[in-house]
Amino acid sequence: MIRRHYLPSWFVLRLLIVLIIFPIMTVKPSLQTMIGPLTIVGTQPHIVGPADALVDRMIINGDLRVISMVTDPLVSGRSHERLAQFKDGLRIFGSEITRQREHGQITSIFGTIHSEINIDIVPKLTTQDAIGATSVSDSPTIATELLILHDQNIRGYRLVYRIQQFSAAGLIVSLVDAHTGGVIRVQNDLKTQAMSLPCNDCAVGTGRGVKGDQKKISVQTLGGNFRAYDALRPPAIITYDMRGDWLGTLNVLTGAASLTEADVATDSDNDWHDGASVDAHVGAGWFYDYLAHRFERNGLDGSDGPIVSLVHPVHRNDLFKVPNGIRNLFHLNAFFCATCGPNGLMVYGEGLPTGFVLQNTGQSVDFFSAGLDIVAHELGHAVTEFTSGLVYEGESGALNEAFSDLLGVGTEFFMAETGRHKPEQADYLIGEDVLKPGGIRSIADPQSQGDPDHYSKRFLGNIDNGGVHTNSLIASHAFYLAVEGGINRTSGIQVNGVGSSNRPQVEQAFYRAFAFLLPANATFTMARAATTQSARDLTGSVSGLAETIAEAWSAVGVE
Amino acid sequence: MIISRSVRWKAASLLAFACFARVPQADAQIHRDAQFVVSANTGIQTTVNTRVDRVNFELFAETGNFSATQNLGRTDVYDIGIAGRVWKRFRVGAVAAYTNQASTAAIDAEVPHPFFFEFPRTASGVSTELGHREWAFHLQGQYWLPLGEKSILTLFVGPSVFKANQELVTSILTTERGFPFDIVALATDTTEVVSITAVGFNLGFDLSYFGLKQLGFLGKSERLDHLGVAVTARYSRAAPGIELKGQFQPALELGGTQVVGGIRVVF
Repeated sequence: MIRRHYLPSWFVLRLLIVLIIFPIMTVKPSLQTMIGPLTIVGTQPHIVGPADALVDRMIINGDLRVISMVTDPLVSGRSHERLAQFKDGLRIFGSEITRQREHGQITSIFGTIHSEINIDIVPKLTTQDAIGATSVSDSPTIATELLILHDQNIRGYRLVYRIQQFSAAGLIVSLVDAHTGGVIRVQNDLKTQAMSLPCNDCAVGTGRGVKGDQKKISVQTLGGNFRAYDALRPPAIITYDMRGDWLGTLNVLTGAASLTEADVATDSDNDWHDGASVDAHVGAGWFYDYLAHRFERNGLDGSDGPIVSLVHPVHRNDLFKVPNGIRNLFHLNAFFCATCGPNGLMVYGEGLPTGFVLQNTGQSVDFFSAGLDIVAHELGHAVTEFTSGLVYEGESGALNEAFSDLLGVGTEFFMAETGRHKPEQADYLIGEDVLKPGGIRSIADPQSQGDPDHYSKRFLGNIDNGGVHTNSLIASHAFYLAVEGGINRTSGIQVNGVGSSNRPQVEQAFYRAFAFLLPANATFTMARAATTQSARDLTGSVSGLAETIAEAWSAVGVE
Repeated sequence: MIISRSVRWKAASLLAFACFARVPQADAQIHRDAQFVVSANTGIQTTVNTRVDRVNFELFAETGNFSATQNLGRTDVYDIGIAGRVWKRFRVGAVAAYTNQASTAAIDAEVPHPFFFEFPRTASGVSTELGHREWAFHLQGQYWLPLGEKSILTLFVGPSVFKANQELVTSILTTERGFPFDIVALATDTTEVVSITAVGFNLGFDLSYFGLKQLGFLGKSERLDHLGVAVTARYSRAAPGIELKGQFQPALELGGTQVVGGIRVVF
């Protein structure tokens, strides 16, 4: 179906002209004839056909460029193409189209296309001027990009610099008007929780996690010591122990310093006792295993790129000796920094000293790597980063968070139900092993943690990038209902779930949708259409999986 | 070494003939009055033993295990013996028996996973040509009784001393096929020959026939009165415990039921 955003009703007629009449005409329409932002949710042939023709014309004109093309590992003969929209060589922020092909034929299209972009694309400000205009101008700048932003506040377009800077407050992304120098938006882009063996120097040791559970740890021998470098799995999985050096950690994150061999977590007898290191290192491997087994995905980037984790970024007992920003960043957070290092860095917070609790919830906070769901959630952000790149604000940001929660929950169940780690207690709580009691979120019962379980109750404010964490429960609760079934407390709609034994099917349907079908600026409505389409792709129309997922979305108020 | 039955019988006949040549002429009842009986037999051991050895090993910070199952089947037996009269129909004797066979062991292993506890992979294979050699020295108290004019039945029982060399699988080497390490293959195994000496027992009976001269096919020489043919059924057993890599294994079954035939020379 085609939906319009922020368009007066008379635009409908013109949209029809663009999508239906123009493809029939022999004269190709130019972009100048197009109008406003156009959202495409195409899963039916009568939508897919004209939309595909439009996309093809825009590719020929150079207005859409292919930025990725992947073969679907779960459905034979399918591939996914991701295109970004450009105007005069400048990317339009968040404007993407995804096309799914089956043996060359387009089967679904999702995304948004912008038109009538009448702005001056020559910036009046230099890059340095724009950096100087940011609130953290003294912090190291990681990346800058000149692009076009669709600003919903002015219902129009701006030429902006997107500037990424790492500071004690996190990964700050600022959008600065390239003509006026005005800071349009500032957001924190940290995705947080608020054999013979095939290698001669491989070794398998044992370790106890933060919770005291024993697990195997894949390491490497070096000079009589053992280092947290997993060389048994295809990607290099490395865990660094920052030994409480928060300034050094900050320098690594900002690119002012590099990680060294001396920073790698080590153990002298291969019987590891630092629970935070053990859980971070082992958890990264387990998440890799989950991706490989469930989705046939090769790691975070799909190409077995390295997975690098940092533990002990600060001393736990230095809680009141460090700046507030550091406390929030390194004590009370875990995050994946996509722009740090060549493949991103995972940082696990230290938690609170014994006896301390969070003022607002009364919860104690353990080492963040103690929660397998948190490990998988944060690394899941990397998967999003390397696939759909769901923009971390508003509804797309909520979907980004929901996807990570689903991966977190999925990893827990995978480990427990397959017998890979019998002590694992799989559940639908997020972070319950770290923030005790209760964890951070409950995707089974969002309201129990004060989060919305229905679209009508979504948070509409600006904080937390538009409520990306709290609103994520709308989508993740739909996932829960599709699996386990139940009655949504707000709508009263009952869903007959597919059952926990069929959870992998739902996981795969959501994974394909969130990773491949959704564009970066996806909405809940798109997510509904994409997940049901994905279910049909996976199981056909007779299994009932797509219908169950659609019912679940209806139960949470997303149509 | 494999010797055909016919060759064995010919060899026994030649041996008997050699003995016969040195024996002085005797009367027709010489087998009942003989002071000594020399025997040489060959035959089969009918007992089939299935042996399962289980060995634990450490791999990837966890204990794995494998079992090696081998069937020690029917095999050839060779023995020689001598018995001497001690009183009336009582004799004492000694028999030395030898068996040798090779068997195949089926190996089934549970190999620890490099990433997870209690998540073993299975691997299987075979180990061939596992040798089993057994020497048995049977001491016997014998009692004989006549069965008609030409035959005697001898009953015997006594202690046995066994010496055995048993080749057992002591360790395995697996080959990993890489991530996700769900499949492991058995690359090779190593074996060890366990030598053991044990005391057991033997009992059985021997049915001898000394009417070869009357049959005529070997001629009519008086010397044939010293020569007989016999069938012996013997059961012997010892079951010593053994260890592999410091781990106790099921007892090694030695001996068994043997049915042999051969010649008897009396003098």
